[in-house]
Amino acid sequence: MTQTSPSPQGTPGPSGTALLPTVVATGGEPTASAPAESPGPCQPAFMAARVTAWDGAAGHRIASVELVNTGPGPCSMFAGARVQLMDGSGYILIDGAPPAASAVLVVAAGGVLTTVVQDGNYCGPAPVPPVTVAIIFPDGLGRVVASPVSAGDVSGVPPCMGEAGSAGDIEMQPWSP
Amino acid sequence: MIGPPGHRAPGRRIAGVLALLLVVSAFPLATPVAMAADVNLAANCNVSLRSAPSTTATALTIMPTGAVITWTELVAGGAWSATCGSLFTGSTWYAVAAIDGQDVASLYGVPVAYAAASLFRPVDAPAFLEGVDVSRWQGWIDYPSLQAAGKRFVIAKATEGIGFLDPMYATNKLGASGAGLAVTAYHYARPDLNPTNPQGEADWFVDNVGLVPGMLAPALDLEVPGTLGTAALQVWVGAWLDRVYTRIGVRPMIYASPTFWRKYLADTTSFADQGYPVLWVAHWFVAGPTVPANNWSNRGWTFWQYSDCGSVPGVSGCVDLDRYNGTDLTPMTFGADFAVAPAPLAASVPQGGSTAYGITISRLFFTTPIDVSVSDLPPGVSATLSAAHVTDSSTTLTLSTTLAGTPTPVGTYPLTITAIGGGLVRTTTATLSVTDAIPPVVTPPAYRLTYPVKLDATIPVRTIWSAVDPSGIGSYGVQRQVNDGAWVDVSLPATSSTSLIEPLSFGTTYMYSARATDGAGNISEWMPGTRAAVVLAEQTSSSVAYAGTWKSASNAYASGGSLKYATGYGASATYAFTGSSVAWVAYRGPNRGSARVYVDGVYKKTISLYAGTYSSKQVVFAFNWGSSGVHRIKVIGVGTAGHPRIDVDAFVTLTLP
Repeated sequence: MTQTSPSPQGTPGPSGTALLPTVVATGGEPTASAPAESPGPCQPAFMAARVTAWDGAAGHRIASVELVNTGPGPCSMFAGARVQLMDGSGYILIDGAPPAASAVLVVAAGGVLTTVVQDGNYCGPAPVPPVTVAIIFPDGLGRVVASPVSAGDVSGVPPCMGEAGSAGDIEMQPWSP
Repeated sequence: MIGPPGHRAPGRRIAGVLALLLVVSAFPLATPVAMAADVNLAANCNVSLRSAPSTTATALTIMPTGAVITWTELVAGGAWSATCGSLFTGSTWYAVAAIDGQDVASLYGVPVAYAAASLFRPVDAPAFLEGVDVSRWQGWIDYPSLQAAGKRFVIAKATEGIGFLDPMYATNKLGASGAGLAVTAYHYARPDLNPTNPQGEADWFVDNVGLVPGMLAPALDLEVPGTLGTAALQVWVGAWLDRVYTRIGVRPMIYASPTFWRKYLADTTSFADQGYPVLWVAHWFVAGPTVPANNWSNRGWTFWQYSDCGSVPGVSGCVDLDRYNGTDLTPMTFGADFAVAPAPLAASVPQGGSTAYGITISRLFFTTPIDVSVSDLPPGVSATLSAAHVTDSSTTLTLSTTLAGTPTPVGTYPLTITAIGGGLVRTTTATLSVTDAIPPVVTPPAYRLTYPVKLDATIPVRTIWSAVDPSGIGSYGVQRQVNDGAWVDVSLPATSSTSLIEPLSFGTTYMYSARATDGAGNISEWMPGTRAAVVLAEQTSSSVAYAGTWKSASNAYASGGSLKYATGYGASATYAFTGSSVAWVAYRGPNRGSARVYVDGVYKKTISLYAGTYSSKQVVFAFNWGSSGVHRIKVIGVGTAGHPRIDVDAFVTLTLP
C-alpha cells in the first residue's frame, strides 16, 4: 500500500523529544536495553503495516494491526497515532483525532509493533473494497496504509448506530512492542 | 413544543459545531437570574431545546415528554409561549447541561443549550442505572474506579462466531464482579461465517461464557447480517437463542440497532412476543432510542447503548455507555433461586371429581428448567402435571379423586409441591378438600314391639332406621306401604328422627322404607324394610300351653272379652310362635302380682302386674329379635304374697311374611 516518504530511517530526531518514557520494540535480535539517545522518528516509507484480523464488539469493529520497521536501523515513534478507516478508493470513511501525548517507542530494525484499532458508527455510502486502516504519522511525515485482510474485505466497516449523517469514530490503543 | 409559527426544528447535527456556535453568538448573552447545581427536571410535554434562550434560535432537538434535563442556571431571554397541558408564557429559560444524563456538548456540540422554563417538573429519583459494555479493545480496566464513578453494570464481550474468545473476557468478568458490579456477557454473532450453524455459535458461547447465578442475562449481539435473507436470518437468530435457552435455561437478551432490526429482520415482533422480551437497543447520540419491533411489542427497551465513546474513570480511551431502564437489576439477574406457588392455594373437589391448580414458577427472570412433583396425596387421588420438566413459568397440576371402589376419603389434605432446579429445592403447600359425594348408607327399617303400651284394635309398633355418612346425616324420610298399596310419606316428629311409633292393625301387612340426606346434600335411595304384620293370639290359642292351675274369666275389658289367670306359685303359660317379636298382654290392678318371664328358656325379667288401679289390655312385656324365627315365651307366677294373681289376656307377635 501507499506510503509517503521522507527522510531515511535511523537519523536522530530533531527533538530527541521523548517527553515520556521510552520503550523498545525489538526485531529478530532482542535488544537488552534502551539506547542512551533516541533515534530519529520513524518514517512511513520504512514502515509496513497490515491488518491481521477484524473482530467485532457491540457496534464496533476492532482491527488487529501490525507495524514493522523495514528500515535499516531503529527509529522512534509515539505510542499513539491518529488513525483512519480507508476504503479501496482511498476515501476516508472515518477520520480519527490526533491522540494526546504518549510514550515514545524505539523500534528496532525489523521490530514489530502491534495494536488494536476500534471504529464505530459509519453512516456513509457503501465503501469500495478493500477497507483497511491508515496510520497517520505526526509532524506531516505522512501515513502508512495497512494491508487489508483480503482484497475484498469490508469487515472493518462498522454499522451506523446513530442518526443518518452522524459522525463515526476511530481510535487506536497505544502500540505495543 | 414551542417556537414561532412555521418554524421547523432542523435535524440534529453532531458535526457543524462551529456553525452552531456562530448562531449562538448572534444572540445576546443570557443573563442569569438563578443558579442551580445540577438540578434534574422532567419535561411535561414535548419541549424544544435551543442553542440560545430565544424562540428564534436554532432548535437542536425536540425533547419528548419525560425527558430529563440537568440545568445549571435560570436565565432571562426572549419571550416564549407554549401549550403544555395549558398555555404557558414567559421569558426565562433553563440553561441545560445534559439531557437524560448525556451532555449537550456531546449530543449537539454546544456547551449549553436552552429550554423554556415552566414546562418541567421535579424528578424524584433517577429512573436508570448506568453501565458500560467492554471488549478486548479497552484492555485492562480499573473496575473499582469505574464502580466509584457510578457505573452499576458491565456487559463484556465473551465470544464471536465459533472459535473466537475475547482474550479479556475472563479478566473483565472477574474484575467487574469483584468490584461489585453486575456483569454479563455477549456473543458477537457471525451468521456471515456460519450461516447454517447457529447452534454451533450458541454452543461456543455457552461453553465459554461461564454463566453463574448473579450474572445478568447474556446477550446476542446482532449487527452482521451476512448474506442470509430476512427469513433465514430470523431462523438463525431463533435457533441461536433457543439453543442457549435449551442448554442453560436462560433467555438471552437481544442487542441490535433499530436500523439493523428493521433492515435485516423485517422489524419482526416474533422474538419479543415469544419469550425474548429483553432488548438491548443500540442507538447512539440521541435523546431517546428508537425502539424497533413496535416498541419491542410495547415492552420498550431494557438496556440502551447510547454512546460509543464515553470517558469513564478506570477505562483508557472510549468506552460504550449503556443504560438500564430501571433501578433494580434483579429482574435481569440470572439466579438459580426461584419460587413456586400454586393458585388457588386451596381447592375443593367432590369424591370422584377432578380439580386443577396452576403452579407458577417465579424465576427471578431467568433460571434453569425446573422439575415439579407433588406428594402427600390422599388415597385414591392421582396427580398429573401438564409439564413436569418446566422450562417456562408455569405448569398445571390436575388432581383426580376416586368415587368407585375405594373412594377417596372425605377430608382436607395439605399437599406438598416440590420444585427442583439448579440444585435447589423449593416446596410449597396446596390444600385439597375432598367433599362427600357418596349418599348415606341406610339401614332398612326394622320393627319392634314395645311396652308399656295398651293393646286396642291396633298395637303401637316402633319402626326404627338409621344411616351413616362421613359428613353426617342431615335428614331422613320415611314412607309406609299398607297391604302392598301405594307408598305414602310418613310425617316424622323431626327430620332427624330415627324411629317412629305407629299403631298397626292386626291382619294387615305393612312395609316401611327410609332414605337419608347427608350433610353434603347427597340423598340415598329408598331403603325398604321387610313386610311386617302383627298377629294377636288370645289366651285361648292352642299355641299357649298352661301348667299349674289357671282359670278362665270373662271380662268385658279384656282382649276378646276373656282372659286366664293363676294365683299359684309356679303356674306358667308358654306361648310358642314364629315371629321376630313377642309381647305379653295382661291386666294390671291392685290384686295382681308378679311373674318371671323367660324367652326361649332364658330368664329375662320379673314383671309386676300390680297397680293402684285396674287397667286392661296392657302390654306388660315385649321382646324383639333381629329376624323372624321359632321362639317361646313363658310366664311363671311367683305367688306374690297378698296379691299373687297373674293374667294372660293375649300374646302378640310380629311376623315378617
